[in-house]
Amino acid sequence: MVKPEAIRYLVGIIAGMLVYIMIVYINMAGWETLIGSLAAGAVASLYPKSAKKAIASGVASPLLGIISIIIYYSIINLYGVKILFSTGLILYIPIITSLIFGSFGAMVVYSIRQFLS
Amino acid sequence: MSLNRRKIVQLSLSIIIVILISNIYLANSQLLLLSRPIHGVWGNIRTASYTSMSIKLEGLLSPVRVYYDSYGVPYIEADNYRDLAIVFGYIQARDRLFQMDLARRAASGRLSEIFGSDFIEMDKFYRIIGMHRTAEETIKYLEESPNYGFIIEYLDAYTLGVNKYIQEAITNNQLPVEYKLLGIEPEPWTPADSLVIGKLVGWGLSGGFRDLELKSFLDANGYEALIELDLLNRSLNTPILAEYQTGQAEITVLTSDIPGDDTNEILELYYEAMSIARLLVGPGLSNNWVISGNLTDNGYPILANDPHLSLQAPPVWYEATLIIPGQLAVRGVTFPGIPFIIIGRNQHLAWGFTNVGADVIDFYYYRWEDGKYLLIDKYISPRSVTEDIRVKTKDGYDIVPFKVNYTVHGPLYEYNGTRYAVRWTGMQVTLELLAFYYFNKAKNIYEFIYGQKFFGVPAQNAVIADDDGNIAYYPAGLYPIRSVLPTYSVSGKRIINYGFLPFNGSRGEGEWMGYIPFEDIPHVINPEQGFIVTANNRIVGGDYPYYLTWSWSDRYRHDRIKRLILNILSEEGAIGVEDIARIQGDIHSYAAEIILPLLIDQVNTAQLSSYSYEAYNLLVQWDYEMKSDLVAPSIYITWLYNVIKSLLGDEYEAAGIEDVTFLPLETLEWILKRAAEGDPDMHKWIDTDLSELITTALEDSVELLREGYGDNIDQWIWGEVSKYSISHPLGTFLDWLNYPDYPGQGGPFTVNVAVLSLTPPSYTVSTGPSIRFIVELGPESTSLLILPGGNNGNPFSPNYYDQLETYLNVGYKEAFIPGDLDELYDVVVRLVFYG
Repeated sequence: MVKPEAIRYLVGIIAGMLVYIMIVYINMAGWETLIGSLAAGAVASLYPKSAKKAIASGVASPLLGIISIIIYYSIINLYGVKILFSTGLILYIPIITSLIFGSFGAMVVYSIRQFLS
Repeated sequence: MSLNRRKIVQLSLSIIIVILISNIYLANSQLLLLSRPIHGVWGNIRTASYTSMSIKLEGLLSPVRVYYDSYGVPYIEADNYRDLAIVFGYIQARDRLFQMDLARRAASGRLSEIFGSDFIEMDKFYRIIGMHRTAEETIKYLEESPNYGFIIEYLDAYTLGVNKYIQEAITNNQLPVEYKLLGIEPEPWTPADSLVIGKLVGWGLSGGFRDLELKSFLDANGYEALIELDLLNRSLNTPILAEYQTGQAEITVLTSDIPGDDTNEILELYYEAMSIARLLVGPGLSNNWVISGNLTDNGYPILANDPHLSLQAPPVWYEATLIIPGQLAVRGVTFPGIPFIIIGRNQHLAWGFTNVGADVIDFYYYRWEDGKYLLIDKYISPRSVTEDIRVKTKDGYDIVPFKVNYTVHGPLYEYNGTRYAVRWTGMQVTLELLAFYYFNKAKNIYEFIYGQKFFGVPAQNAVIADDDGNIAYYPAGLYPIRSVLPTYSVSGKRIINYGFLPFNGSRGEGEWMGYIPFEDIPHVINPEQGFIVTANNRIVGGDYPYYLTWSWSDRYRHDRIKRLILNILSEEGAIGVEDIARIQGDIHSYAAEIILPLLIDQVNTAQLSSYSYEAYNLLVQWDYEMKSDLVAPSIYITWLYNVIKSLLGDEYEAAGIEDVTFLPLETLEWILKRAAEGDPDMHKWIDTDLSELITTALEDSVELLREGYGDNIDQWIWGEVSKYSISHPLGTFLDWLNYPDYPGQGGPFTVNVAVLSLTPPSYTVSTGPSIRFIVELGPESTSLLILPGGNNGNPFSPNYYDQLETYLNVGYKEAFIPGDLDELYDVVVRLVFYG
């Protein structure tokens, strides 16, 4: 049996992922990764009850978003994705940035939740 | 700490950390742009994947269909020239925009705008040459001309297409990755940009500052070299046309002093500036040949061409097929940025080019007084043009005003008080674009030759074949005729400076009185021999009345191709496409066949170490094939390099010449042969005992190879020692933009050429066949073409280097011209553009 708590975590992470994808799709002159990741982290950390879990969820949702984007690229241009994996920093920068800001989003929201509780 | 205070501190800390790190991140705009998974570099994975669709393109009169085959070659079918040009512009920009942009910037002296102050000297050089100014003048000329309005309309339409793509790419964040990596955007394209790219190619193929290099060499080593090294006669070279005499050159000669101004520092600057032209064009060697239907398997002519230009990612050429039903069906390659096919075929004929390498750049020095130069009998102030060079800085741009001074002969190239005016045939209005227009639509060789009358710069050895069975050779271009030529007394002989050394402009030397009349340019139609081969060797023998150049390429490739054709004809009676492909892939070094025995004869085997003796034996047994799995080519090339360095290294150094291949290999052959015959004139060039020099060079070469590749001689194979390492202009910083490395094969003088960057004991192939192209005409026509890379400039595209392996294995792909797009069988993307 899957615990209801796990489902809540999952729902939060997936919601965060969707928020991430929607925001990074909008052209904001470079700000979209920052805003998308913060928002994704924030959404994913609405439920978790500990700081660690909140940050883990905040990292997981943009990570899933990034993975979804890579899967989409693989479907339309598998060759291009193979090249992407050889680019080093070009591959890592969007991933690392998204994960860092996802965790920040989660950290801030969790702190606000703690503050309000 | 109370719970509430802890919560406040926790929240504040979180917010402060987020703001601090966000600020660091946001302060780095490049990081901001690179972190975008959809609109950043990653997004180009999506743009590399072309899907069939309809695209609105304002300005089109009728729908235009564009089909891409699996190699990323577009087939563009339009109802009229205007629509064709718009879509060709759009498609070229989509596939190669950064390359187009880089070329126009380099030629216009605008690289510092994107790369910063490191490029300022290079920019100044190109501002002096002034290709951008000539391009603007040409546009003005075409606009005002009553006859050539259609070319301007075509060029405007092409420009419209390029700009539509640029606008669309900026709006949709679909600019090529290079722009995203550099954090820049392209400016709108202009018609002059297309011309300036043509000028850059022309400049790269026009020999550059060779006159100053020669002067510097002679100043340092004595003008006797002209005679002793046979530099002017080049008697070892083979002419393309064995016998040719026409026209009458009228010249006046006057006694003169040998020109005096030092050129070494100027050459230093020049080498730096030329690196970009070399990067884009390379040394410009090539092979082409055409064989009459009387000698072929199917009874129709066969034409082959492999222009040797810089190997780079993406390739210098872009392949396309242009169709206007009932009017035009042409396929071939062009330089990105140019709206016609430059080398290719249409439904009636095929053509190919090699560079003539004519001497079309002259230098003039003057007597100066108070900032004025003397011209015959009066002092004149130079005319000047001041341009602002924008130089990228951290915060924006610095403006560097730059003044270009002109004499009556051309712009002045100045350094530390040394001044030379430069005159080049490309510094005037020339109409190559018009020539390409006629080439593309020609129905037979005669219509093609008519188009050649418009071809100015750089003079090209054109071979042409049509489906009526005609073949022709016509090296059209502008060849200056100089009047009032100075003569120098050298070793008791009179040497006339026809244009290979600077002229004294103050005395009126070397004025251009016109160009060799088109009809007097050596040419042949349907030669008796049944075939014509050109490989940048001399066009005609010494009895031709006009001066063309002294710096012909060595004869080795030409002679080898000719020998192979004659062998096939004598063995098989007729020649076919497969034979031609074998010739294009030939890696037998005819140069080694001649030079190596001369070297081997001089080796004192008693002095050799055991390693060197083993190497020597390998060379003695070698069959001159430059195969990648053989050791002998590695030893031969390293030895040859060391012999040249030992013989001429000091002479080059004294002259400030960086390129050890400045003098042709035939000069080494000349020295070795003459020395072996005991010619006393050779003593000056061989400072020590020739046998000792050559033996020591072999010992040194073996040591170099041991240091580089270990003691096991079997590991010194040519494919390990030489590499195809084809790189992108930004590849120094981002390796993934470069093509993968492959083992080298062939050499600098083989038909399948591999010009090497000479950094022993390892060598990189910097120049090679920039396409391989074969056409067999007739009803069962065959066209084959291959690029050293791929047709698409997007590194995420499957067509970025999908042809490379086939190219390296001397394979081909079909270059079919469909009568109708629906005849195509290899279509992967269908686009329809509508207005």
